Amino acid sequence: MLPESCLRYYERGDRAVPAWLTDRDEPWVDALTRFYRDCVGRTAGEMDHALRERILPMCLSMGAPRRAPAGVRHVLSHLFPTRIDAAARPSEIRQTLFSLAPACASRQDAIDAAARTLGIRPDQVLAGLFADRAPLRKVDRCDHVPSAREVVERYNLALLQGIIQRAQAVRVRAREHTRSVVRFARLRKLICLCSLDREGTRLDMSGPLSMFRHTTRYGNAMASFLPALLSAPGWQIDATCLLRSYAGEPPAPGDPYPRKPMVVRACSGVPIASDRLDLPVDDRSIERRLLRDMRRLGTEWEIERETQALQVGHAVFFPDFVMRKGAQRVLVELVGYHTTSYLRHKLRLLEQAGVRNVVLCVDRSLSCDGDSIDGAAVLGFERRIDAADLGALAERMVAG
Amino acid sequence: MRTYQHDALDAWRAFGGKGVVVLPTGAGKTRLAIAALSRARTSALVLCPTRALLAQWRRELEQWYGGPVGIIGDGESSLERVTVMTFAGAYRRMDDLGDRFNLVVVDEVHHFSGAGAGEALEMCAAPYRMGLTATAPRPGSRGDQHLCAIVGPVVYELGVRDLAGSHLAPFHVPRICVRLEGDEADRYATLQRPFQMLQGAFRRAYPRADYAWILRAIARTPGGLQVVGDHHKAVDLATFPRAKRRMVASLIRRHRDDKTLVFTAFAEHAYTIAMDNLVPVITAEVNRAERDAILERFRDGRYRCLVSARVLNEGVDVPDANVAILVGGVLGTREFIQRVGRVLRPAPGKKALVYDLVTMDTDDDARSEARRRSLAA
Repeated sequence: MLPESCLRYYERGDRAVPAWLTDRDEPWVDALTRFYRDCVGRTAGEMDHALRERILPMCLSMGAPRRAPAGVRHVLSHLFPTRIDAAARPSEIRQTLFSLAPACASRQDAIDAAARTLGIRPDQVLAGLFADRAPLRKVDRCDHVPSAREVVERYNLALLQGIIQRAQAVRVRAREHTRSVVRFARLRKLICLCSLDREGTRLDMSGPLSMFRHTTRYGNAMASFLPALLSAPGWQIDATCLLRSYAGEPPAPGDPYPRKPMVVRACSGVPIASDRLDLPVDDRSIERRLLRDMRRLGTEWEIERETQALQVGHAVFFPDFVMRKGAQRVLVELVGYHTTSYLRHKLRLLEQAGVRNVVLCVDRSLSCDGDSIDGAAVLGFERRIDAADLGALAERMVAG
Repeated sequence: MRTYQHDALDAWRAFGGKGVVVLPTGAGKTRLAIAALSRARTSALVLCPTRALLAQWRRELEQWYGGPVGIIGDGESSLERVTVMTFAGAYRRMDDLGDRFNLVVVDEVHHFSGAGAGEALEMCAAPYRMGLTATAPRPGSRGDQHLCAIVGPVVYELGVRDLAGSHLAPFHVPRICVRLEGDEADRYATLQRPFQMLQGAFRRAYPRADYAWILRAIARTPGGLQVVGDHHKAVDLATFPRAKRRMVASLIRRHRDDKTLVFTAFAEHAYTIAMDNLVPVITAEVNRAERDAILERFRDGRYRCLVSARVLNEGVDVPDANVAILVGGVLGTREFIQRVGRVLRPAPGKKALVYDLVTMDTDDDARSEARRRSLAA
């Protein structure tokens, strides 16, 4: 995910169009990637210096748009990790050397004494003394050196993630695999309402900037949801984001550019990295734990993973489980991040449609406004759903 | 309680239980707050900036206050009639807890002088407020006005000079001047000239603008990023030239039997000194466990010298020392006073030495002059 300083977009009135990298950018991206590959074994500090002084200006001279090389550098730094290269643990070297130094006649004596104590060579003492500092870590080998094309795709994904991190509201559509997209959103515990309209299925999601709490965690969850969405054919995102506006009257010389809400649209056809949708999309551990607890309690309720969607007017619900006892059925939906208005809206939809056999299991630790609501169809939990409470709630529900 | 602490408390009460008390480091601000707390006999919240100070407040309160002490921060969350909370905890929890206390004590209150920093205090309903600091914002400045609005005016102020020799250790600040060597001076002039020209132009156009504003403004001019980058390199050079490097080594050798704190402007300089002289270093990169271990060894005398950039300026319970070497500082008089205060804890026969290393004919010289004037004032 790109930081705000690296985000690039074209402003068109109140709209912002992400400035994607394309195949035209591949030459300079390739030069930057090759530089990273050649830096394997050098220190991160040396690499940063060379990047600042030599490589980034070279990229600009090759036609790279301003701020784009910094973004690509951000992407590459995640692909090429760094490691500590020392003969002993640096903290141990430091403690030994600094403890021995005051009693030694000279600097070299102290280094020799520390080397003897640690069982390493004197030159390794100084080399490893601060080897755990970020600038002195060695650039590590990358298992798979990406092609320029792959880096461009990863950059575009990071750009979109950085923009969506600043979203107040997000609307998502996918032409196919809608169910998987919804499951992914639920797996990431995002606040989303699914509904049907003339254009198909639509997911309305709260953006990170609409949260009072968990803003960063929720933003990260949304960022990790995006790669799955982008692999669905015909995907489309419309988001209202709070972005810096560089158009119009510039602010006073020392003042920052103001942020303003802008509508961002992105859709399939962009070269962008994505995950496969056939990855596991359900958190089976909760189901297994519930089933085990239910059996231990000796209730007659059986739990199965629900696969049928439940249409309530225009809205669509995707329950996680169905609890069965003979012919009686109670649907259970797990709710992750939430606000009271989101829960009330869900409950109101169910009530209006006369659906009385749905339980919302709400993870209280993921409340985004610090409030909680109670109700006949709501069961709060933290870490673990209480199987006895759930069973009792289901009993009350079927008893009417 | 000492006389000046009584006076400070009386002044605070005379202002209706609202206001800021300015006392130097080591002058007993914590004791003063505990006295206020015990006289008020009411629910109280203590806010402090770091986890280290949280632990320090807890120790002091447990020693002097009879009841249980609540802690919110550093992984704990227990609410009591007297509770200590970090600033970070206050930002998160004040909307819930802001109406539960009658007295709020804010340690290092100058952190709230920024325009956006006061939210936590604005959400607090406590009618009695005491701010504690060694370095209040300049009278009449925006920071001063902001603090006055959310905590109260400065009701009592003593400087380092007022207490040195009586309640603080007497001290001497020798100024050691060095010069850039030939190649360094040429490089400094080349790097600094474009910045000085632009800075002069902006100062004429915007006489009330501060340094940070001018820096941002220059960065936005065509080629400005390069100019600002070169200026940073020039500052880096002036705050730690080769002559200072040699001088620091010489001073550390001279005071190898004393307990010495070395302060630098930037972390890189601290690491260079640590590498040259084989002394432990504490910067923001050092994790908490290692930092605590280093401070413990310094406290019990196994380490005689410690080098740091800014981490030890405030917010850390630094063991007593009697020599400070100020290699460089770019954060102004507040940083200087905090650093001097680190060696002023009184002890029988103690006389503190604070070496101020200055590079002549550079910005470092001008900054040093300003610092010394503030100390004299």
